Amino acid sequence: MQQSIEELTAELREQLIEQLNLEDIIPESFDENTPLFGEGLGLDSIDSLELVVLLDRNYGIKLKDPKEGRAVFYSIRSMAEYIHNNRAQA
Amino acid sequence: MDERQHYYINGIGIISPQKTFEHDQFLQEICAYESNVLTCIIPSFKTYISPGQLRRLSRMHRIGLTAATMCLRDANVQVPDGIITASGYGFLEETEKFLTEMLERNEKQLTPTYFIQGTYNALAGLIALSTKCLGYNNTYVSKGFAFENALHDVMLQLSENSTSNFLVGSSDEAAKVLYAIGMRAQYYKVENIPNLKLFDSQTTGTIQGEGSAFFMVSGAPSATTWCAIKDLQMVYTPQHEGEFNLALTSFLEVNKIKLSEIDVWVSGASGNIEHDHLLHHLEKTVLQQTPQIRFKHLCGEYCTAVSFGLWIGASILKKQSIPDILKVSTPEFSLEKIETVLIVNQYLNRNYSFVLLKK
Repeated sequence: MQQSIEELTAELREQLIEQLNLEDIIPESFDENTPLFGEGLGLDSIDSLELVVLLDRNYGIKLKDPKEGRAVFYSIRSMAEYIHNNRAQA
Repeated sequence: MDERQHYYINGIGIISPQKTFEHDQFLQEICAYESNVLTCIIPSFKTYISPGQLRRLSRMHRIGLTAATMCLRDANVQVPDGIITASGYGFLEETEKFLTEMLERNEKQLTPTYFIQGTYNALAGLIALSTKCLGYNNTYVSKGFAFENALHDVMLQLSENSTSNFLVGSSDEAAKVLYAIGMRAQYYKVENIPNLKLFDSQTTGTIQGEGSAFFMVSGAPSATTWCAIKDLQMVYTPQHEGEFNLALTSFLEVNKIKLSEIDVWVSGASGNIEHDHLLHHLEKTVLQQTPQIRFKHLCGEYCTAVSFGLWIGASILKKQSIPDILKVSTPEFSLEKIETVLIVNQYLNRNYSFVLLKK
């Protein structure tokens, strides 16, 4: 049975914190819509590579177009929606 | 008049198996180890590295970056003109994780962080990013001469521009894989020996250590100067005692230093009766009348352990005192003023070096 966007959002949050060692820097205001890069969580280009690998390893989704990444990795919510839509098509 | 250029150590930051990160203490509190592996006593990293940076750094990167930051603060320098690091084996634990991941995942879907952390020059890059230093950046990985080569590079750089401030340092970890290989190669002692009893041992092998030490070196002294490096020389695989003694006396002659002017010599003896034989011969011949200290029972043996010895020498000159834990009983220490320190290091009976320090 396919996971809902809400379930994916909760799962991604856990994965991000673990994979990117974010335990000590997660702000209290961090939620599913907080921007992951820039003034939001402040992730950087190496993190974006980690996220590409995370999508591939955990969900079998290869992000082939780098331009897509900006929108996909905007927030946890946008990642969850992308996974939900692309896994549904597979 | 001595016209040779001096190279001033204007700041130090060091993290080692002893509590060396507080400069107001000079080995007042000694850490004893019962096993043959000595690992670093670490300060609170958050005092030196932002949480955002900390999260991606391995233990050894945290240690190295913190030692470098301590050194910059000690020297009152925000951005050095160049960064030179040294490491005998790099960051083996991260390299091992990356290689294991490659095998497990059939060279696919590899995460970048382990690869970045596993490279030899990762620390020099990290420091450059942290300080926004766009200057010279180099890393020496020449095993038992890695730190000496880094120091030599600094001296060459400063001979071209003596007003520059170069951050030079070392980093080597007590990696498990290195210990396993070292045991097979008989680098380490088979029997367990407490580190403070290392020099009572009459067997081959030594104990494993680790550490990171950074020095701010400039061609000009400052208000924070510890001491001056007068000269450095490396000697590779001397064949016999006569050749080694001659190398040392020639080094002193070039620097116009008489044996009687050396107040104390810092021996890099490692507690291995085979590897230490040239140093033992020195203490019975050329340096018979010179008080000797040893340090590898405090930091263990590793490729860049001579940097710990350099900190010891610089501290003795700055503080004008010698902690008892370093002293070898004969000859007696009756020093009123310490002005000249000679470091004689050996690594695996292959890499020998002399470092001459002046107050």
